[in-house]
Amino acid sequence: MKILQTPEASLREPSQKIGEITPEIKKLADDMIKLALKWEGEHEHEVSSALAAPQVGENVRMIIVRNEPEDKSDKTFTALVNPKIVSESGRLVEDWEGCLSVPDLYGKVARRDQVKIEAKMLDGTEVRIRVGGHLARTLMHEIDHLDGILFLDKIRGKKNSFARLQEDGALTPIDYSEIENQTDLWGD
Amino acid sequence: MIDKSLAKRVPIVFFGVDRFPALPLEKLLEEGYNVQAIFAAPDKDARGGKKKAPVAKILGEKYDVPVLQPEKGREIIGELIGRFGEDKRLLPDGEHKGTLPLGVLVSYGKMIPDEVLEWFKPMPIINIHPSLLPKYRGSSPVESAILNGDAETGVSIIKLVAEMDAGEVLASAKISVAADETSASLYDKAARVGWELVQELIPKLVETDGQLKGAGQDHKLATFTPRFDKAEAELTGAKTAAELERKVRAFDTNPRAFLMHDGKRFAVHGGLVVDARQTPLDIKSSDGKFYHPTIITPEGQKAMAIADYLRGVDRG
Ligand SMILES: [Zn+2]
Repeated sequence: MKILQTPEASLREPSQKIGEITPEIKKLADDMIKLALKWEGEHEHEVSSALAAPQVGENVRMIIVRNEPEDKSDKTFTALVNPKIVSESGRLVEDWEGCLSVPDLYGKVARRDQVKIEAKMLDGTEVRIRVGGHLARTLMHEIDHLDGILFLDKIRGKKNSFARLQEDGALTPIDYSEIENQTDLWGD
Repeated sequence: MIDKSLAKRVPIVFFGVDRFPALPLEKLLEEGYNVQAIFAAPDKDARGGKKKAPVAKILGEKYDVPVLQPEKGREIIGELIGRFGEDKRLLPDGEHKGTLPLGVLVSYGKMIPDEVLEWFKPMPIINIHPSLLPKYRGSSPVESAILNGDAETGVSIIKLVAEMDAGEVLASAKISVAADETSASLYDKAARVGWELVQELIPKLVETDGQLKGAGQDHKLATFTPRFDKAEAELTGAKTAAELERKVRAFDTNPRAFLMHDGKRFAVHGGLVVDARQTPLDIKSSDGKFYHPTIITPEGQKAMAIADYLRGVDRG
C-alpha cells in the first residue's frame, strides 16, 4: 500500500459506503495511520493531519484524522467511517491547504468555518460532531476526497491561490500559468 | 409460469468489464438479449501514443450496441437520461412489464452513484461478485480465496446498493479452487458460473418487475479484501513456502508476482515448494522450506524456465 498522487485516476473517483466494519477495515485504518506517519517522517516541514482511504487506493468511505495536529509528538488518529456533512455554517474563510496526494503544491481554499458531521467510529458507534476552525477544514478536505474531489479542483482557474512549499518550509506564491497546463495535476 | 421471451425483450444496460472476463457480456450479445447500452471504461493510453479500447467497447461495436465511456461515474446519469429519458417508463404504470431497463454490472471499475440506482428502480442493477458473500467483499475476492488456500469459493449475484457489495443475494453457487488454480483460471470459472446464474435470473426479475426478493446478507460475517498494488506482489518474508506458492498463483496478471535477486527483478509465473535450495533464486521462508520458482521472466527478457536462465548465466 502506498499514498497515491495525481494524476492517479482513482483519486478523482467517488468512494463507496462501507456496509460492515470488518477486521480488515480496521486494519486498513491502522495501515493508513502508519503510512501517514511514515510520510510525515519523510517530510520535515509538514504534518500528516489526515488521510482518506482513496488516497491509498481503496475507494471506500473512511478517513483518519489526527487528534492533535498541532503537536507532532502526538501520533494518535481517529478513524471515521461513512462521514457525512450534515450542515456547513459560519463565515467563509480562505486558508492554505495541502494534500499528501498533491506533492509540494498548496492552495488557498475558501470554506465555511463550522461544520456538522455524522459518522461511525470503528467500534460501530454513531457520532454526530460539530467542529469549527482548522479541524472543520480538515474534515471537509477529507470528505471531498471521498467524493473524488481534490482541493485544487475547487480553486482551478483562480490566479492568486497557489503556492509551492520551499525546501526551508516556506510557502512561495506561484504564477498560475506555471500549473495551468500541467496535465498530471488536473487529471484531464 | 415464466415467460422466457420477456427475458430477451427487456432492455439491458451493461456496465463493465474491467478485471472480470467479458464472457457474460459476450453471451448477452451473442444470444440476442436486448442490450441497449454498454458502459465501458475509457480507452487507455497505450504504447506509441496510441489508445487501447476496452474489450466491452470492442464487443459493443461488433454487435452495433452504443458504447458509452464516461470518464467519471457522476456522468452516468446524464448518459442514461439522454438515452432513455428522465422517465424511462415506456408504458403507463402497471403495463410496463419487460420494458424497464435492467442493469447488469460486472467489474465496472467505477462507483455507481445513488441517483443511478434510483433511476433504475423498480428494477435493480445486478452484479456478479466472485465470492460467496458476505465473505470477501471488496476488490480482490478471487485473489484472496487463492491466497488463503480456500478449497472452495463461489459466485454471488447481488442487487447493487450504496454500501459496497452489501446488497441482497439473488443467487449464488459454489466453485472449487483447484490446487493449481490461478486468479485467471478462477475468474474464468466464476464468469461461466456467474453467467449461468444471471441467465436464470433475468426472466424472474422481469416477471416480478425487479421485486424478486433475495437473501439479506449477514453483515456480521462480512470480510473485506483489499486492492493489492505492485509492491505487494513481491515474494519475500513469508512464514511458509506454501504461502509464496499461493501468492504466485494469486498474482498471475495484475499485479504479477516477482522476486528480487542481486538487485534484479524477476517476474515469477510458477514454481513449487521444496525442502532444500535448488537454485540461487529460491526463496527461504520461516518454516525452513524453500519456494523454488520454475518459470521466470528476468527484467527486460522473455519468460523462460529457470534452468535455461541459469545455464545462460553460467555461459557468461
Ligand atoms: Zn488530501
